Amino acid sequence: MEAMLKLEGVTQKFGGLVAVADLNIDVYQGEIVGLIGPNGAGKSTTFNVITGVYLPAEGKVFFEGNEITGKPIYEITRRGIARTFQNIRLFQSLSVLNNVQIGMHGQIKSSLWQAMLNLPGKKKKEQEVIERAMSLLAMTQLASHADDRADSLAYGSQRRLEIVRAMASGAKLLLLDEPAAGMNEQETNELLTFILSLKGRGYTILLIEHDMRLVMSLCDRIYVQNQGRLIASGTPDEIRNNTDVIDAYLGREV
Amino acid sequence: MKKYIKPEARAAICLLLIVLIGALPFYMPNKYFIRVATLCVMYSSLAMSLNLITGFMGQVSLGHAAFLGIGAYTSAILSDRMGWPFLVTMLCAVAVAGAFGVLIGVPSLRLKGSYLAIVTLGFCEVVRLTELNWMSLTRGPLGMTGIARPVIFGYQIKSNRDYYFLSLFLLAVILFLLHNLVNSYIGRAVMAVREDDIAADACGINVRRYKVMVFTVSSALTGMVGAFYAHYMRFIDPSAFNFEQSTSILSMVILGGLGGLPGSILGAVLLTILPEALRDMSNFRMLIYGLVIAVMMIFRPQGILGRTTFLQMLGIQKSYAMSNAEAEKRYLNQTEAKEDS
Repeated sequence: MEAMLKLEGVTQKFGGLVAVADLNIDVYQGEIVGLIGPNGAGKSTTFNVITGVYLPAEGKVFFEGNEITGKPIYEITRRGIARTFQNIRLFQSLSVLNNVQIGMHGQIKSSLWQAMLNLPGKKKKEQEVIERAMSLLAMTQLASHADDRADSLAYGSQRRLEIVRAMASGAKLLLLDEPAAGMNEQETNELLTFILSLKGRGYTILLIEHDMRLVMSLCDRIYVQNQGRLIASGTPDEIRNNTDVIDAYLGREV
Repeated sequence: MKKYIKPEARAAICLLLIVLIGALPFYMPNKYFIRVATLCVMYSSLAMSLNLITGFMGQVSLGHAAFLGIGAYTSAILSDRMGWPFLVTMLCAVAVAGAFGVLIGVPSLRLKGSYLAIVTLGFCEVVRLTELNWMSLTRGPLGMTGIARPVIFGYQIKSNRDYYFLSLFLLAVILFLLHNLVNSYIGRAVMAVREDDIAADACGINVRRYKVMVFTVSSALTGMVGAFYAHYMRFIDPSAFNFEQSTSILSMVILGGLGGLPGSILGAVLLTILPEALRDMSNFRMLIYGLVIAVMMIFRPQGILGRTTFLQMLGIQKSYAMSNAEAEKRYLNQTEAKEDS
């Protein structure tokens, strides 16, 4: 089977600093894949390379067999890769519903004239967008907050909304950057169930996470990055017992 | 406001306002009042179109007067030299101002905040100096005089009342276009750029495209008002399109509320009437502008009306929130319907 997402020898440098070095990652359809490693290992940089924020110095990124290296960010989203951010980046002063509607933007054929002159078709288009957005919010228990400002939501709900916004783009592959950061145990448990349900809905997921319990129970496979390089990959059990990973990241039990 | 006035009452107040505005020349036939009212309407149009850039997209523009000038000169020159009718020269003004809007939209792709503000300020000065020194085209500091009064479909616009209704018509056109625009998928995309341009990009929004689009639309509409200005004043010179003009339009937008169209109208009306009321103290006009804005920044930083929309003013804002149980039921119905088909 061909990998859905394929990174081939990706290297990203910032001046003299090599943030990501010769990275090879494969993500297959329907998997949940974890990307872990200590702070500064280059995990978020890897996400930024995949989503087109950075143009890597070397290497290529393929999505569904097509090269996407160097494509504009919005174009990559439209092709089916959507992401969330390590520090939540919602459209804070807009409503929860607006956030999801904006997430769907890439799927709308927008026309200035149609929008400005209220030409036929606009109303129908808008209605469909609202219905889809509401059904996504319903799925995540956020429907009752549809009119609220996004920044008025509880922290855990904001994280969830960001994932919903990514789903709204019609993406098949979701990149989640530390979705459980700052969550308490109960919120993390809810998140775990939610991410598993995404897998059930056919989404493929690549996630960065420091919460090992979450990573180990969610992921089918895990990649471990340290100082930009990949130091291990495999199933959760293999990673847990890998001495390199234990030295670099997990630590030994005393 | 939401809490104190019932929606029905709000709608009634708004209707009353519309009637009052429309019938103004009949119960206030004084020439001077009609002239001030016409200026109020004209500045409302200008403030609304600047609000699209500054309020909805969050980019500061200190050069809006330049587009007013470009529109005014385009229309005046074409009408003077070519003898073209007003509607044609106005459309040309829209096109030329829009084209310059693209020009200033492009630097906005790389610059933000104060840096972009400086570029737009510079642009305004360049345009003004060109108008001042290109004698053969604009007659420079002498200005253009005797600009033809508009004839619209055979009707000669001449009285102050005619001009007032023409300005109202243009305001209605601009209001219609901008209201539709901001309440559409494009308006949402533009607001997303204001909120967080990186996240907007990640949502599949072509940020560059919308930035240029917004600058173009806004300048084109401003150019349209410029054409009206030229044929209304019947005299234009570069001093009318200077930095001070840009800042007064910006002040109106900020006073009324960034990111809300009704606010721009209120801001424009207040800041047009204020200097008229204080005519004896016209030297202090800028001081009072400054004071009004400083006071407002302290007590109501979001502007008088903030982001209030016309629909909210009329009390017909739709609510989409529903209980999660209700939403779930709908969602299940929907998926079942999909599976059946």
